[in-house]
Formats: sequence, C-alpha cells, structure tokens
Amino acid sequence: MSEPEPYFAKLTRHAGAAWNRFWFTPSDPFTLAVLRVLTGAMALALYLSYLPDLETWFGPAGLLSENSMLKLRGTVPLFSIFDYAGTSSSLWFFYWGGAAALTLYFVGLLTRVTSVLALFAYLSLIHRGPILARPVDDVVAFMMFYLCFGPAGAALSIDAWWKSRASARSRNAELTVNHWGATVVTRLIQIHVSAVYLVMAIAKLKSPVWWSGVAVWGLLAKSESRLIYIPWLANPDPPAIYVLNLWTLTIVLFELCFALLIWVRLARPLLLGLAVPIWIGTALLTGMTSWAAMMLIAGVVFIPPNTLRRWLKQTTNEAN
Amino acid sequence: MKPTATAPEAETETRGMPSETVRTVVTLLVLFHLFVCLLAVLTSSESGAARLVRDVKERPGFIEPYLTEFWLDRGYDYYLMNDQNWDFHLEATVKYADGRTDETLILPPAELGSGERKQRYQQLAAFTGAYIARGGSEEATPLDAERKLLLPESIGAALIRQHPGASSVALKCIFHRGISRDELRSENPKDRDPDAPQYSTTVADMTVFLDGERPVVFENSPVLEVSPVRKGDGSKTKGAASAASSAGGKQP
Repeated sequence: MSEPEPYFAKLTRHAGAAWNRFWFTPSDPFTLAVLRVLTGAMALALYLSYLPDLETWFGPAGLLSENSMLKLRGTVPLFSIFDYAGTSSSLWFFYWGGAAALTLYFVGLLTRVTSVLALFAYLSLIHRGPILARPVDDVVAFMMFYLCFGPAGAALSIDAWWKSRASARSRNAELTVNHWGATVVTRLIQIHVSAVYLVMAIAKLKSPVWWSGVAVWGLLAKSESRLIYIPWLANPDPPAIYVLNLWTLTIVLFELCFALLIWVRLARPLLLGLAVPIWIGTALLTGMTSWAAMMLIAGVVFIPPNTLRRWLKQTTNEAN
Repeated sequence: MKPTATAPEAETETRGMPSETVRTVVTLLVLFHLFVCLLAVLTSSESGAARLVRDVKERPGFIEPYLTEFWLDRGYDYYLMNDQNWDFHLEATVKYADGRTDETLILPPAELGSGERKQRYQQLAAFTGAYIARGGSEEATPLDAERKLLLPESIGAALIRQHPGASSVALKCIFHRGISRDELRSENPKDRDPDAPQYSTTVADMTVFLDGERPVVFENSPVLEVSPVRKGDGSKTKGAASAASSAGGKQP
C-alpha cells in the first residue's frame, strides 16, 4: 500500500495543474478576433472624433499647450508622438499616420505589427492631452494593450484571408488553429474586466447616494450631460420612489454580480444579457454612450468562440 | 508556479501547451502584470491609499512608468454620481485693446450636442475648477499650487493668439448643480427651473493677459470661499469648491 501524498505536495500539484489549465490550455482565438474588430472600430471612432477639434486642442495656438500638458503630467515620463508636432502640418501628419495604423488594425492587416502601432497612436493622443481622456479611453487602452499579445488577427482579418488563400488545404477562410497565447490574453482581459466591475461597484457603495438608492436622480439632474429626463422620478411617494430606488440599486447589484458570478459558466449568458439593458440605461443617464458601448464590447470576452462563430454564420446566412 | 506534467492525466492536459520554460516565464510576467495592476487600482482611488502600497508602487522606479505609459494606472472607480460631481462649463470673453469685446464663448459650444467631443470640453472645465480648488485649499501641495492656474493660462493664451489684436481674455469656470428632488417640487416656479441662476456658481473668475509670450492670470475674486451652492437642505450644505475637487477626478 502506497503512502498518502503529503498535503502541501498535493496542494502544489493540484494548484499547478489548475493554473496550467486556466492559462495555457490552447483555445480558439476567434473571440480575440471579434474583440479586435469591435475594439478597433471603437478606437478608430474615438480617434477620429478628435478630427474637428485637433487644431483647437493641440495646434500651435491650441487650448492645451504642449508646455502646460508637460507640467500637468508631472515627473512620470509619458511619451507622445504629438509632443514632436511643433507645426500644424506635422500635427496633421502624425494624426493621419495614427488613423492609418488604427484602420489597418481594424481590418487586420499585418495585425501583429499594426496592433502595436495602433496602440502607440492611441496612447500618443491620450498622453498629449491626458485631461481629455474619458472612461471609455481607459477601457479601450487596456483592451488594445492585451490584444497586442494574442493572435487577434487569426480570423476576421486580411491576414487570415491571405493565409487561407495561400494554404491549399484550407477551404474555410476562418479556419484557425487553437493557440495557448489566445488563452493567456483572453484570461487577462477577463480578469481585468471583472476587476473593473468590482471596483466600480465598490466605488458606488462608498457613496451615500447609491446606498440610499437615489443616485439615478443625481444623474438625471445633470442637465448638461444626461440624454433623458424623467421628472416624475422626483416624486417622494410610491411608486416613483420605488422605481428610483430599484433602478439605482439594480445598477450596483448588477456590477457586483457581474464581477463575481461571471466566472460561473451557467451565469454568464444571464449576466451578459442583463448587461445590455443596464448599459443602455447608463448611457441614457450619463450621456457616456461610447463608454457604455465599450463596456458591452469588453463583455464579449466571456462569450465562447464557438458561439460567436455560430452567430456570425447565422447572420451571414440571413444576410445572404 | 512550476507546471507539473508527471501524472498521466496531466500529460493529456499538456497537449498543445507551451514548454515548461515558456510557461514559467509567462507565469512570472502574468503575475507581475496583475500585481502592478492591483497596485494601480489600490493607489488611484479617490479614497486615498495605504503608505505601504504607494511606496511599493513608487519606489522601484519602473512600476509607475509601466503603468502610466500604457494607461493602466487607473482606479476604475466610476461612481458616476456622488452628489457633488455636477456639470461644469467655461465662459470666455475676448477683449481688444480698443475696448471692443467679442461675444462670450461657451465651452462646450452648444452646437456640439452630446457625445465625446462635448464631454472633453466639460472635462476641461471640470479640471480647471478642480485644479483651482485644490491649489487654493489649505492642504494644497506644491504640485497643486503649481498646477492651479496652468489650464487658465493655456486656454487664455490660446484664445488671445487665435484673435489678432486681442489684449486679454475674461475667463469664468461655472459650476452647474443639478436640481434636487425637493427643489423640483417647490411652489416657487423659479426653483423648479433646473437652469435657474441659483443653480449656477462661478467657481473661478479670471483675466488672462500675455506678458510678451508668457500668459499671466489675475484672479478677479475669491468666489470659492463665499459660494454655498446647496440650497434647501441645511444638513448637506456643500460648496462649489468641494464639488470642483471631486469633479476633476484622477489627476493626469
């Protein structure tokens, strides 16, 4: 009869195996490819939204002079290619260069290279005027950062199309090989997204207006930001006050549940489904539509690649 | 953590996985990254941070640049509403040497509607108010004092340069508090108007000149110290100064 394995040896062996399974089991990079397309589209849209105001913000006579921004950044060095744009023409040259990199990243051409260039362009714009960065920029930045490290161009890209044409055996343009790199990047994004939800919920719980269930009124009262206005919710009597409390508490509860229960496979479809009305509501309350959209996009990381493939196929068939 | 591959079931698990060396290196990098992201969250919150955590983040000299360069140094504490972070806007009036003045420019411009472009101007206004409030407070650090008038200087100088012949710019930062539920049910119609004057407070009123190429800012009145903006709720009197402090969010 063999001797029982010592506790710590068993613990280490099981933990090691679980760690390897979690991080290194090869997986289909299709989810990363979808995230690249969606994040790339959002990054490009946000980048291009600077177009009408580029000179106003960063031009030689712009509102945010290079000198003042360098002072605001403090002692921590931040690199921005736009710091070297001393003239209007060089500012536009760098800007269109960045737009080109983001476009190539979006369509998936030389994705391994353009993912880095696109991140560089996007961060350069944020670093040039950091006080203009919005919550959506935080999310776009970390998504693009992680996608640099994975095979995000393995599908839904010009790279994949080229590869499938070049490969005689590949009849399916979307044929991709499972890769452990896809798992590492997917896991990192999943952890980061659930951490963001957790911190968001904790931040709200620290504020009395969320505890007392009236924070939604505060958002509705921001007349220069909100997209909807429902004065009926100011009524102190039921059912108005109940609706106000329910709306406020649902947001916090959802964020808490998302952070913790998204790791339970059975709960994922429910949480991802609930995320849609919650974030649409938040967009209407705050006016931060792009941020709400980006949080929904980030949630895609929890959708299995097979499901995404099936949806895409159905959509394509219906379109045809 | 060292991967294990001796048990028979483990052998099947390792099919397609990278080599043990690669796994070890990736594991170390992942752990480093997750650890510094945790430090970022713990130190970027507006609630402050433990001295130990701040020192661990700042002392090594490579963690902070890594986080800030990749825009990972975020608190993600999007509380959205804390009963203080209301709307801000800027009003700028360009004045010429011959006494003429242009029409007052509102930032964000009304024609922007909603969306990111408008929100960037709102954020500029909020940071302007926040830096002035922080720089003028008793707890102001030398960095707060240095930053206090940076944005008015930059904005004012830009407007003077954009308008040939301009001699100065009158710049105001306006705080617009949202109407409370009690106020909305007031019997006085003026109180029920969310855009009524009593809901707006000038948190900074300045004049910007150019001394050669160098912008100079004069603060016209210390409005921050005398502007209670909460009305009809005696238990929660809040000033625009505290509002501006929280509205600016995390400093760059």
